[in-house]
Amino acid sequence: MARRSWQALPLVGLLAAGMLYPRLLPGDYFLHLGIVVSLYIILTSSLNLIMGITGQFAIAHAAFYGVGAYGSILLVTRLGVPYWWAWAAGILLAGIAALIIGASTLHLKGAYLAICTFAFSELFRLLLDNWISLTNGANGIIIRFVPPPFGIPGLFRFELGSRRSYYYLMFTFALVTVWFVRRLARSDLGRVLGAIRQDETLALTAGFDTRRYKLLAFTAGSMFAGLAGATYAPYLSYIAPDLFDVNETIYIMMIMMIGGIRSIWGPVWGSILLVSLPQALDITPLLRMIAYGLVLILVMIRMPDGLAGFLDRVMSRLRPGSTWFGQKA
Amino acid sequence: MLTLTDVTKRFGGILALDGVSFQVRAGCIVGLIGPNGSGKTVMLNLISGLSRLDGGQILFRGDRIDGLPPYAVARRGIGRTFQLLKLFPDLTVRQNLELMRQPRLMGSNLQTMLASLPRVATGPSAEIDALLEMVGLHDKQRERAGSLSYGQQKLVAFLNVLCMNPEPELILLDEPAAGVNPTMINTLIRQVQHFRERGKTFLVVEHDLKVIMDLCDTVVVLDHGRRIAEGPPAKVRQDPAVMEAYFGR
Amino acid sequence: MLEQFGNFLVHGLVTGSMYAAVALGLTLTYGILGILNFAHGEMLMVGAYFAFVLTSQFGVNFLLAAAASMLAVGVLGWIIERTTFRFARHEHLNGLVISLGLVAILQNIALAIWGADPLSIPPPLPRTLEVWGIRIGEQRLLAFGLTVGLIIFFSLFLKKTRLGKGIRATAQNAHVAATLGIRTERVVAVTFSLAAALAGLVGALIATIYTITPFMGGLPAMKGFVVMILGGLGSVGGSILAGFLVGVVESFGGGMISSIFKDGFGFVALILILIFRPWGLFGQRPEREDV
Ligand SMILES: Nc1ncnc2c1ncn2[C@@H]1O[C@H](COP(=O)(O)OP(=O)(O)OP(=O)(O)O)[C@@H](O)[C@H]1O
Ligand SMILES: [Mg+2]
Repeated sequence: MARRSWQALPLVGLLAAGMLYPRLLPGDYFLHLGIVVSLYIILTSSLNLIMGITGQFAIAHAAFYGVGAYGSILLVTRLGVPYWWAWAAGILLAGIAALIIGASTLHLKGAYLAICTFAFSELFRLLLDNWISLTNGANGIIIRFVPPPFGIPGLFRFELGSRRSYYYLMFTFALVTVWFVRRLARSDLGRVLGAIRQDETLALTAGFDTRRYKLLAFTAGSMFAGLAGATYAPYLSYIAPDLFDVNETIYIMMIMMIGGIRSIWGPVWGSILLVSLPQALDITPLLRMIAYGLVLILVMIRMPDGLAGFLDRVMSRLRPGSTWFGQKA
Repeated sequence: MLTLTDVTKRFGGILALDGVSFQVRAGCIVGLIGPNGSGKTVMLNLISGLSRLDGGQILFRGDRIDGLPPYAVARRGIGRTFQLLKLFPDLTVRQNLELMRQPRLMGSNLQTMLASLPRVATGPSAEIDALLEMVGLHDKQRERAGSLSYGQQKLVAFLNVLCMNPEPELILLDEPAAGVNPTMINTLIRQVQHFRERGKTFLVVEHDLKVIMDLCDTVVVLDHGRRIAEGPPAKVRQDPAVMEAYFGR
Repeated sequence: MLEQFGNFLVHGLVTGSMYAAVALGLTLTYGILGILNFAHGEMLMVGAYFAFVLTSQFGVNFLLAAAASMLAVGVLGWIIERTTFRFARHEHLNGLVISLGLVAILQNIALAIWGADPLSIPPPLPRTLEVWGIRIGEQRLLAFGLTVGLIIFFSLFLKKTRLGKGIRATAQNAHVAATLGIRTERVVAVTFSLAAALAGLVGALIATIYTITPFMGGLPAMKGFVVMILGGLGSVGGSILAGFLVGVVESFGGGMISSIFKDGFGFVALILILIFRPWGLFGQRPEREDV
């Protein structure tokens, strides 16, 4: 039992770090960075569930992120739905879209699945670009409202007036996502998802209806992407189709890979590094991008398991069997 | 228990199985033998639902199972191993078995699926302990299954089938002895006999004639997708058609 | 009506030939490396700039410049395979990230040298032909001819030559190929380099029809992936036919249904076809028995 409670330590550490961060590094700039890092933790952890744990090479994550964002914002601006209801509906819409797309693509494997989901993702972007009367096309939508406070009267109340409160909100969701994925990965259900990744044929002949499991993982992961979109959009105060195109999915995948695929903590390391690295490299944007490319290549060649795998390897020298930084799911 | 009637399977122009019929009675160990490429693995794939029949039918306890997806066949009580070893290499030996013991989520019940979300299968299981003990893998249970020796992995694959939930009544083994050292082959033979005594039925594909002789009550011989002989092992062995198929003339 | 039909068809086939050539390169690299190479489009881009520099700054004849681009990009491909992809073979996610790193590097180098403003190579054959009401630029016909010629050459090369057979054997099973005495290391590098060379030539040709920018490779690469899957992975003939098919479908869809949605028709075709044939139009139907 003692061992179990030790394993929760990294989660507690993340909580503490996230809560202390605005105090250690005050100022709007760092708060903004914290919000973006939290956003990518949600997006990468949820993609990790689909791609890393369940092994489904689906590249449409940004589309579900976009469904969450556009869905909730359009409900507010076009139909006047109160924001938090629209927020929930955005997540639900992402889930429904994932069910439909998943049901029609998840029988595919490898590159077939990748390119077919990619096609869906591009169709979604084309839709946003061209359904101008609804979405204002490529010009995007400027969001002029501030989400109202939410809470249960008499119990608690959360205002989203400041950048600081937005940070705490995003960070909480990031923490929840990491916790959820970690919990899921270690549950019975998570074992089956891992089994499907390792050998789907065997899982099938062992009596698991693999399509249903894949669909569940895909939908759950995509709903978290929807949550990211619905929550982040009002902060960004502007949404446009190319924020949710396939390049964004690829960026999310990249963070996941650099952080360490299939590791619970990889998405956290990856998001912190890749969001702050370009800001930290104080050189011209061109050189920065070239350096960025070189870092990607070097990390993938020298540390195929990403940062999480690397940190684990370093740590195991000190304490054999340590997986505090990685925790493969 | 299992009745195959006129089972036919084509791959493009090749007739991999050409109207094969035979029966597997409950509580028996039936051998399925034949030269390389005679269609044995194809037969197991058809029974377990991994590929579709082009003709004929398969009955299991009186119900047609051809056309069912593999997971449904498994839930009816048919388990199988694979000629090219299959297990979950990233899980430990014990986790492999625990995974197999998990309840399968029946039908369209999302609720049961979600109910398995918060559970972690780490509780002790006397049955798994006993199985591991029996084949001498108890001290390996915390190792990655993929890191064991080939023979040990084959034993794990065999135990995996036994641990399936619901428990399989009919077990299909595809060349369980291939690539396994003689001591472990004996362990395997003992296990199969042990479980037959407990009421399980086996259909064994095997090239090792000693295994077939020791184990089987009946043997079915395939050649070029056709059934060329059937009977008790000792008798089939003398059958001229079988001799010809195996050794040519 | 009939003339319009003819126009759509001809222009679709011209675009299709480009798609086919890009997809052929992608199929070869996927077959042999097991990696979706997103940097394939950047090979196109490098080829285009190379031809641009040779023709506009050194006054080299266009055909010569195109051949030189092919060679140069082929060499670049060789270097890239040896220094990067070699370490991630059949690790599709790692390989993909490496290819993204290459995209970032190549695009930004091009941006540093030539800037973001679109450039173009004045077409050596600027006239427009009109036959039976079908209007088409001579330059497009030239591009079509060269691309189709090269595609035919490549297919024959893969079918008939020793090296071509080695490539196909390695794509099917590298271990077996190695035990048969095929030098798979070299085969992989050569294949990658050939695929890059093909992209280099297409890039030079595109540069005379469209414009050159550091980002010009993105769209053709995406289309190439769609075509590759539509044709059925690993099927060289399939990806060629699918290339023409997507070109024609887009041309008709764009002309007759909606021009802004033009790029979407290929995706729709892909999704519909994969629902009914999950292994692509011309791929092998996989039996479940991978056992
Ligand atoms: N997926 C497939 N596609 C095409 N042909 C196949 C396929 N699977 C099996 N075959 C063909 O069916 C025939 C029977 O194959 P099968 O694997 O059943 O042989 P086997 O009796 O198990 O032989 P072995 O003892 O070597 O395992 C072979 O000729 C094989 O080439
Ligand atoms: Mg076989």
